[in-house]
Order: sequence, then structure tokens, then C-alpha cells
Amino acid sequence: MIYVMGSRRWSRYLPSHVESNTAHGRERLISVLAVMPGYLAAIVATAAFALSAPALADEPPAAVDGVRWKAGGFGTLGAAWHDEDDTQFRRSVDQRRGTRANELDLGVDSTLGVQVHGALAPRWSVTAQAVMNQGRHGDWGPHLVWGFVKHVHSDEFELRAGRLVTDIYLDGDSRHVGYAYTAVRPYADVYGRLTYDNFDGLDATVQHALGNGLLRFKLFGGRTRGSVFLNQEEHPVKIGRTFGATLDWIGPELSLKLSWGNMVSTRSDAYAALPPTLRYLASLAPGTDFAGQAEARASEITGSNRIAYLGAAVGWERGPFSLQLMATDMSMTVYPRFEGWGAGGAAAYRVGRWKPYLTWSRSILDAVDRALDVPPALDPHGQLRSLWQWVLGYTRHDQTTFGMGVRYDFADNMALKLQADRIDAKRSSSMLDDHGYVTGPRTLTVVTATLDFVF
Amino acid sequence: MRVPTFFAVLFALFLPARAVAAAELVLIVNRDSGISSLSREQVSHLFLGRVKMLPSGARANVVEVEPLRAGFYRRLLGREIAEINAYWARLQFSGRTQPPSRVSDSASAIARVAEDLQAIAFVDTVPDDARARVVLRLGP
Repeated sequence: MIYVMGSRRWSRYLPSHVESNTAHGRERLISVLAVMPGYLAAIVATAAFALSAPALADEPPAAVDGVRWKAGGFGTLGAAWHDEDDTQFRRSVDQRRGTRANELDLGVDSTLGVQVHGALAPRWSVTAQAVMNQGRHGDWGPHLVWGFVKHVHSDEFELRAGRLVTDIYLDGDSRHVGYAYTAVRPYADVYGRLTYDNFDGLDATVQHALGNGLLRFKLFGGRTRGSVFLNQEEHPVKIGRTFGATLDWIGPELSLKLSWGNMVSTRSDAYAALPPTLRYLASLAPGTDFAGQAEARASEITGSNRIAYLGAAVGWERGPFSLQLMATDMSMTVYPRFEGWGAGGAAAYRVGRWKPYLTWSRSILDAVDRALDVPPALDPHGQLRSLWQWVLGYTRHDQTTFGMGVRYDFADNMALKLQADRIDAKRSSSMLDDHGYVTGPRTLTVVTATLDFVF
Repeated sequence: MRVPTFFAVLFALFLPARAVAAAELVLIVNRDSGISSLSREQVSHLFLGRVKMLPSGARANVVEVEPLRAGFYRRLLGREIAEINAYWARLQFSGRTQPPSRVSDSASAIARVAEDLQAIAFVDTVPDDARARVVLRLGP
């Protein structure tokens, strides 16, 4: 069990078998942890626990009333740094704040997850996973990422119901498990923008042998969960549906994936005031081109937003070599409608415990042009024109990242990573300025070190 | 730390991580499981959690021997154990499946297989126990 506390009191709950060579070393560890923020202290303590007692993961699950329970978890202690003034680097758009210039940020990549799995019967199980990381509220409150009942009818068919995650990631169905990824984080340019990735619903998987591999088809759907934080505003999904499908073929060396999905928000008040405002202004200039444009724009604005994607990915592993490539087409119907694409690639080479790697990613999201030529007489201070440009550019995005790093697996369940990312953003809705608004052009280098572990 | 010791430690960091290497590893199942042989492909799918059932239709109880894991996956898949551990983290913490159970030595694995019709394990010696049957051999 993980305890999150912010004072010296929590030290009494340290597992007694946390190793230290001497009593003095243990006292030093406790004194250091006691002055750290509570969430970091919890991650560090859990990492120390994972390093000292990895064999606990191998113990047979505990049986209670015939149900075999198993607990485990994962974590990342991350430190990120850059020196680009007036810029906050975020790994995902559901983070309220990011790494500021010349500050060693321990929050943007740090995570702690705890999972409980219960084998109810040979074909029935339950799983619950809570993750604690820096989210849209700026705090570290745990949130439920997985919580489902699973039925395995056979190798050909299984069904899950509950809190699930959209199957869009190559390295597992989660963007939180740092240990599962070669690099520090999944491509921030692409996956960092798809944060409506939780849903409460069902997924069904059908699998069959094909050639020397397995063909797997999954259908999923349910109520959308998730949020984004843009321009100092949180945008949680109020009423939304997620549905989609994936098709995978997994062979000895090659794996292929096609994914298609929609996340629909059926109620959004973001632009509720705009249509009546535009119609009022149109009434002040009847018969003009502006009046026609304003009426057309007013009728286009709806309260729904559909985010759609269609993607393909390939992974190849042979001996020490590994290569991943992915690309996805994206669209968002939130006014004025945005269309774009994202792509990423990673190449790595394993040498014993070491694994150097290179990464590249790019994503573009452009607004469909919606003309609104406001006469100066109706907008003497240019406020409406500024507002309209803001609406058109609300989540425009054009960002490229080149990364290089190395992973060092110094223990069976722990890895250190050091990575440098060169980010070139013509415009970014992922990075924020120091006032919390999306940025204009930026070029910066982010250096990150992480300790990833599982237990 | 003395300088010679420092360089010895630094050199050791670059050495590949290798467990004790066995001459041959064999895959064993219970004699009464209804399985006479398995292909490398079938074994790969079982030990990577892609299939959960034995060819007989029974749910597989997959068992790993801790000190032999690195050599087993290197022989079977040509991959280092760090890659396998990351792979299992991917599956385990995305709710797909749970990793195999582990035992500390081949004798424990043989005993497990001898008593469980649904167990499958890899060991470094052909078992003397007649209740266990070899279904695949993986050379060095």
C-alpha cells in the first residue's frame, strides 16, 4: 500500500526491509524523503521498495475465499529541464502546467501507479489501476485509469467491461507506464494531444492464428473520460461517447496495427455566446457581405465536438534491433473544424543492459478557414477580429521533435533513461507560455532523466 | 572507492547481463496433458501471453524458472531479458494479461508440472520424473 504524506510522520510507514547498508544510510534516506513534496517522496520510497524486494512480484498471489489477488504497480521519477524563456513544456495537454525555463521539473514526467488484479475463476478476473501524476488540476490526486471485469471465453474471444483505455498506443494500452517504453515518454507531439483516452464501456477482442502470427480484432465503445487544459481553462468531457476498432497482426518479429476511433462530446458551452453575438452584429449591417458571413458562421457553430483518428503502425524487432513507425490522420469538429496528421518513429539497438535510441515525431493540426470580414465601424477597437483569430487558432498545432537517448536496465525491474529532445514548434497547443496560454513559435531542447520501475 | 575498483565497476556496467547459461533447455508438460510436442511458435505465444490455452483446450499455467529466464528468451526469441521484462510490463499494466508465475529452480518447476495437468515450464535438465514429458528442446 502506498501512503502519500508530506511530513516526517510518513517515515514510520516505510517498509522495514528497505535496504541500506548501514543504519546511518537508512536515516539519511528518511531525512531526505521527509523534506520532499509528498508525491515525490511516495515515488522515491516505492522505487526503493521495488529495488530491494523485486522477488515479491514472483510470490504466488494471495488467495482469499478462493479469489487469487495480486497487487503491483509502476512508477517514474522524472526530472526535466530546458532554458527557453516564457515556455512551459508539457508531455500531454491534460497537464495544467509544464517545465519552466531553467527549473529542474520533477513533476511533468513523474508518475506512480498501483494495480490490483483478482482471478475470480479460471475465466473471470477483475483489475483496478489508479495512477497519480500531475494532471489538469495541478495536483497529484489519484485517478482511476483501469477498472474492469474480464471474461476470457477462449483464446479466440474475450470481453472486458468497466473503465478502459482507448487502444492507440504501440507499447501497450497506456501512456503512463514508463518502464514499458524505450524512450522517456510516448511521442508527445502525437499522443500528448490525445488525452480523451479513457472511457467507461466495453471492449471485445477476437483473435485467430494467421500465418506464423496472430490476427486480433477489437471493438470498443463507451462513455468518454478525460480532459484537456488549454489557455488557462480545463475542458473535461461533459457528455461524450468513444467508439472504435483496432486490427493487429502480431508475428515473431513484425507487428502491424490499424486503429480507428471517434471521441464525441455532445455538449460544449465553449462558444455558446458566439452565435447570438454574430447574429446581432449582422443585424446592424443588413445586406452587407459581413452580414452574410456572420449568419453563416453563426449557423456553423454547434455544441458538439468529434475527434476522429485513423492510424497505422508497424513494429519490427530482430535480435538487438527494434524499429517503430506510426502515422495517424486526425480531425476535430470543434469550431472552426481542425484537420491534420501525426507521425512518429523510433529506432533502438540493445547492447546488454544498454539501449541507445533515436526518436522523431511530428504533428500538424490546422483550422479550416472561416472568413469573417468585420467592418471597422462595428469593431472600432478590433476586439471581434482578435477574438475571431483566437477562435480560429485555438488549438492549431505544428510541432516536430527529434530525440536521442539511452536506456540502462540496471535491475530486472528498473531502468534509467537519459534523453534530449529538440523541439521545433511553429505553433504549439502542447507548450504553454508563462501565463498559461498556448505558445507561438518556439525552438527548445528539453533534457530529461527518468528512473522507471515496476513492482 | 579506490581507483582500480572504480574502473572495475565502470567496466562491469557495460558487460551484457547474462544469467547462468545452460547447455540445453527443454519445455516440459504433464505426461497426461494430451500434448506430445509443441512448436517454437506455440511456445512463444504461450510464454508471451498471446494465447492462454494449451492445444488441448485447457487453460495453461505457464511457469518460468527465475535463473533460466534470460537464457530461455534468448534461445526462443533472440531477445534480451530486459526487453521481455518491458514487454510484460506493457501487458500487465494495460490489463491484457498477467505474467507467468516463477519458481526458483528447475526441480520446483518439474514438481509443479508433475502435479498440474495444465502446467508448462522450461528447465535445464530432462526430468527423471516420468510424470513430465519433454515437448520442445532449445539448444544453446
